[in-house]
Amino acid sequence: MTLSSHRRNAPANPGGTVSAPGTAPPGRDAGPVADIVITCVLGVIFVGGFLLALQWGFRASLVPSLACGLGVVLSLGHLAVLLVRRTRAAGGDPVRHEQAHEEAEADLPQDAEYVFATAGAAAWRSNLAWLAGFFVVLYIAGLIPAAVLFTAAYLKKGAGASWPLALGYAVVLGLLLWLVFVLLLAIPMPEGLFS
Amino acid sequence: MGDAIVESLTQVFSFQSLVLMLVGVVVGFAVGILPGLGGAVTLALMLPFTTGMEPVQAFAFLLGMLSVTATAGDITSVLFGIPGEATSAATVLDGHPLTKRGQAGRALGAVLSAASLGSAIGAVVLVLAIPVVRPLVLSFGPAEFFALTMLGLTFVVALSSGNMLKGFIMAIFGVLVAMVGIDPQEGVPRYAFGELYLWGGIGLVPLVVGLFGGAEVLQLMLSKQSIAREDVAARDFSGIGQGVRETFAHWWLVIRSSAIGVGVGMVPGVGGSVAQFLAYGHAQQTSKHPEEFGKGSIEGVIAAGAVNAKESGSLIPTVSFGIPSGAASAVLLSAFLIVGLDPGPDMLTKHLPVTLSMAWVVILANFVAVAVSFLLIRPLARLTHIRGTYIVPVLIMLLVVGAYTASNNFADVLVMLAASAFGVVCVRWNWPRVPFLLAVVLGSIAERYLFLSYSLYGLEWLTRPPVLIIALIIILTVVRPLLRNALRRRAEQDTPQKTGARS
Repeated sequence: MTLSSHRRNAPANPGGTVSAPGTAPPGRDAGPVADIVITCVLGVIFVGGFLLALQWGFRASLVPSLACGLGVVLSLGHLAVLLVRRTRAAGGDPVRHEQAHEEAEADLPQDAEYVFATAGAAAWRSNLAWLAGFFVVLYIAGLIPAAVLFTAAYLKKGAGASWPLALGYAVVLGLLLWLVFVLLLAIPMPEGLFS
Repeated sequence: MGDAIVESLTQVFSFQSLVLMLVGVVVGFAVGILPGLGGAVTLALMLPFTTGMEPVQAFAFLLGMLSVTATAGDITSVLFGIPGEATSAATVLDGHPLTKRGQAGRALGAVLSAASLGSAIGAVVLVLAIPVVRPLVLSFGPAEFFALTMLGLTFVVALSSGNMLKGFIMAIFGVLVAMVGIDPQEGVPRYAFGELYLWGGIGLVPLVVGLFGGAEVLQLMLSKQSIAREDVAARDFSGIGQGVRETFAHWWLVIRSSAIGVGVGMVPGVGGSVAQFLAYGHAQQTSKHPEEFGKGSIEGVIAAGAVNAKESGSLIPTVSFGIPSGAASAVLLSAFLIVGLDPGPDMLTKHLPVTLSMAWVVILANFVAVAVSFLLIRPLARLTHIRGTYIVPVLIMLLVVGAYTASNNFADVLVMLAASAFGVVCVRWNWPRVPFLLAVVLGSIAERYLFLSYSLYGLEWLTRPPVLIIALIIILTVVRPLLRNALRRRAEQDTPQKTGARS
């Protein structure tokens, strides 16, 4: 199956959270800039790691120092490569443009990279808020209450499920967690602040 | 030897041994699918039940359980992108992309058949290797083991041959993460920032679960679509047979990956996840289509499955010398003492039938587990066609349970979250995750062997013949993809020139 047929066959997008598969991902142009930022961040981490390692004795600091030193050198090298590519791309280097086009074409609508690149800011905000909410409740109330609350609320509000389905799913999931992990396997679960 | 083989088969196929093995297989299957319970932990929990058992019965139960956990862990890796076991992480890389294309049956058929073949090969090697492996293992010292870990890290580079510099940087970052915790040389807490939790280092399980599973969950939440393509019929499971046939078609890859599994399984302190990534890296390096790796290459799936032979490999030093090669075999070692056996030369002479029975149990248990898996493929694969938002709550719970049970500390959940965020960044901007993960696994091991080598041999360890041979392989591993890329670019540059000249 060709790439174009993949795109033709791409599923409908009921949530409207990801841009249409046939269109170019809007975040693509950010790729080189993001690479530069990530390289810089890692470079700073390597420098920080090297400085911290200087405080330890020889045996404790040898491998971290070597790793961080090499990391700084490679980060600088990568940064130089990225800046040269950026300059060439700005000058209209056809080879680079072609490579970038091929990279963009390589992703299918099911690929995580495509989904992350095309998801709108509102979708990112709402889903990260759901996750943040779940982990806050998990920390406060423990796993099973968080599981029941999150499942019911997320399925109803986030997925558009009916109340009976959302509540039934939440109760069954909570019961299963309790039966399998607590009763049967006796695995410790996050119990929250009030345990 | 012939009498021992007959006696071991008789003991394994006795009613009690078979029933105990089946119980072990069921427990191992559940442990493999459910995150949070590792093979070693479950082995430790089950150990008290072996008191009073005959040696063969005890090992039928324990090995039956241990040898199927990785096989079952591959199922969740393929279907949901969440490894059931840390040793199933490499299966995610190509197994899950195949699921997304609606080829879950093909991926599972390939990985499960490769796993059963791998375990059978490993068990045969176990039987054949025991008498000859002793001098070899004894001739290897820390210097050789250090060189082997460096070779493992070098394979990392091959895994990111498309962008080697990014792969190197990610690997170094992985080494840095591996350095977190109390330094074994001087007892100094490194990169702990005053946090007691970090003194023990970053847990591998929350890291693996977050790095791979976290990105998967967020993708499902954002896309609101099923894991598998909706335009592929949910009942189309013709791919199962295709996957099995492809495994047999790639028989040479199965043998090579099994050999890597046995070899790495024998090395103390290295572990199964390393073996899987090494086999995966080797498969990519030797493949005619390395560009397909990470996007749904069946060769990647087969290599990751066939490495199941590592369980037998880990038994070789355990049985021969009483040296456990990992946490699970360390727990298994205590089973020897419980049933009144002394690992070492006696296991090759007086108790040879028990040793041979271990090999039969590994083979039999894996075939039973694979048969059960094939029966469950259809209902399990149907789950991948359910709308993603309905699976999200279950997957999040699996992530939390998997991460939290690493050390029953909420900080593990935070590590999982951080790893998830890092995984999303890596996926979004195409930074390779595997070199990072493998470097986290190998970093502290390499450091330990480096200092041991220096303490024992000074700088002369650098001139030991096995070290030099491994160093040569390392250089070839780095240079080969560089040369291949350079030649490809030159060919690409020449082609338009020639075309232009013709026109």
